[in-house]
Amino acid sequence: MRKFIFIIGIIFLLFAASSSVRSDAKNSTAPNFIAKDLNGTKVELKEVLKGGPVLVSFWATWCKPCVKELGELQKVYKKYHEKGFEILAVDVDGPRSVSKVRSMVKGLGWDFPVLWDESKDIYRNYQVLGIPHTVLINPAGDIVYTHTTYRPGDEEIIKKKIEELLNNSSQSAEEKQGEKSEK
Amino acid sequence: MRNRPFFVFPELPEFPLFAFFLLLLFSFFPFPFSVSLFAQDFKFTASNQLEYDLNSGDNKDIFHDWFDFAGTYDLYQAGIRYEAHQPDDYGNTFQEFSYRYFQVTTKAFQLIAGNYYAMFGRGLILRSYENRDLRFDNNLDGIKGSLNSVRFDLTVLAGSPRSGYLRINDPLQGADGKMVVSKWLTLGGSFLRTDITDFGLVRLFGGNASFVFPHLDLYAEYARKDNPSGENIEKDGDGVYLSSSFYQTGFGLTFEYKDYKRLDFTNGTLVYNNPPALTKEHAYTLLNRHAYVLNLYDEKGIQAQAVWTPKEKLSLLANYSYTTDHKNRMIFSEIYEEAEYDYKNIATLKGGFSYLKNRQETGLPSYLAPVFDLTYYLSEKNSLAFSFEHLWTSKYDGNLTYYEQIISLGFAHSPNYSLTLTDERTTEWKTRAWSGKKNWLILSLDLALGENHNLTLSLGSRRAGKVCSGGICTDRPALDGGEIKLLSRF
Repeated sequence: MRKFIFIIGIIFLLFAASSSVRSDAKNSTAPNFIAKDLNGTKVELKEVLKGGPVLVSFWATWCKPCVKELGELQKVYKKYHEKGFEILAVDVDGPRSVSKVRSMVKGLGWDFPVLWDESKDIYRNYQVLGIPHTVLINPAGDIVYTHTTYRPGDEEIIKKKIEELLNNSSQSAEEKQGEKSEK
Repeated sequence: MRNRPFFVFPELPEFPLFAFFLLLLFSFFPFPFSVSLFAQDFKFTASNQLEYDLNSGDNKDIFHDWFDFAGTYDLYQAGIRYEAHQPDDYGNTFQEFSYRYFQVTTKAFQLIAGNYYAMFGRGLILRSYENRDLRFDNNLDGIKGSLNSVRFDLTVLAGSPRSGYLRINDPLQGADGKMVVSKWLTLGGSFLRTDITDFGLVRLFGGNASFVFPHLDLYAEYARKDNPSGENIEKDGDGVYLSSSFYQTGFGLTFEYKDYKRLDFTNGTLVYNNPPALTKEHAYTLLNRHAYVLNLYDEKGIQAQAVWTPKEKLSLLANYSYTTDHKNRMIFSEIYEEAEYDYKNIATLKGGFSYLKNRQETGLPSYLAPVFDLTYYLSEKNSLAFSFEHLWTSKYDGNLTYYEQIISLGFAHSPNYSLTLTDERTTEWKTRAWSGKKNWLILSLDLALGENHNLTLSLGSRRAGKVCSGGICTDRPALDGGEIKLLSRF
């Protein structure tokens, strides 16, 4: 019972801590990674970020909420991909399910790149504890939003964050253009 | 096999305060703070997973905690994991630094000293991995080096594996290489050896080929196990795994074949290899409870799966699995169909049906299971969810029948919380002497505390049962009281 009271105490403290550090915890640098896509081509996060913001989504074929979330994210991808937004769906399936990934991805009509995290090194580097887990990274390589689990409507928050990022990058591009023309 | 612990605390305190101390510390001091203490190039990440069950009947509690910490500077990374279980799966108190490493990583090269995970091919020869739901972790402790280029990958390793909560003293040595021969062909090869105390030298070697054509992927792997010391020569064995995937937009078809004969590469209770089991991995609780347990000594089989999206809002899935032994006696079979439909963005309906036979279980049972999920969107952020699972069991040629059923009802508010009430009942008590519960009811509240903490509080009772993944299963104890799960990233 002492443990129980102690754990409850910890949770109350976490409530307080989470509200106080929420904004500070953002903008930590995203760990870079290299992984192979379904064609066997190596993809590096650093290179992909040169094109715009990237959403890294950890998922597996057997995870119902992950598949549901990626279905919703496909719609987001369709809308913003041309503006520079990219999704990297990091598959954490074991050898048992990995053969089914390609046919499932194509069968469900997903267009974004899917990477296989064979030894779960990316999963561990991002300190992921459960899937689905999403990480939104700005072009500078900073984590601007993270979220674990999926509830219907979560994709709306991601949409807003992406729009903010895309607006910011187009504004900074315009500013740079303006500075150049002034010179 | 000889076992030794990693590192044991000199005096075990009654309660692992250390885990809570770390949790608290990092909750209040997130990493931008830590970074500012040092040069900008230092980066730190950490996470904590806490699980606590308190059973009201006998006042017994179960506590599990994993705390991971990693620091990166330029090309260098070091990390450590503290793990505590009171009790562990064997009823003992366990706490130690179970995982620590130092690694150097460049684009072309990686060297790890300490603990690491590794997989060769599709796991026919080696699969070292962690699955906390199964309380499974067979990480290696030693050294691993990898060379990577556009056309060539090579991994060389040596290390002692973890088995349960102990370290095995018989080290493994191995190598795995891949070469991109052309745009459509990649070839690979693996080798692994160990000298097992009181048994002798055992080695595995194999090769694999991967073909990628437009709309078609093929993969083939062969592995052979032998025992050159001459002892237990009947233990020699081999295994084959083949897969093909055909796909085009809106349709995908996968066909797989396995044939494993005395391929089990073991040391005591630890199995080093874990190839594809070729059975559907279910997310539904009742279907997962009767999953097939991989038998590398004697099995062969097939699995076919098709996914089709005929309309934007409709998706269909069909799966067939069939496994026999080498005398062609059926061990496991399953037919599973599933359809999902989005109705005008108001609701999502999902219905499935499974018919499976698992001859590994007593009474040679057959199972018939309809499953159904409904999500109704009340607004952009609020939704209701209803889930139904019914499993009808027939044993001893239909002489013994009963059912199990799970119904759950939930409300979710994105992104902050969800509340779910789950009822499970069974009629199994009518078929045999029964002293326990006949139905179980549990209320769970899942809360997102900011972006970095997820808390689940459950109150009520939950039935004991098998949890399976990748052909490996473990028994989870029943709950009758309260449960706390806290996932934190810092």
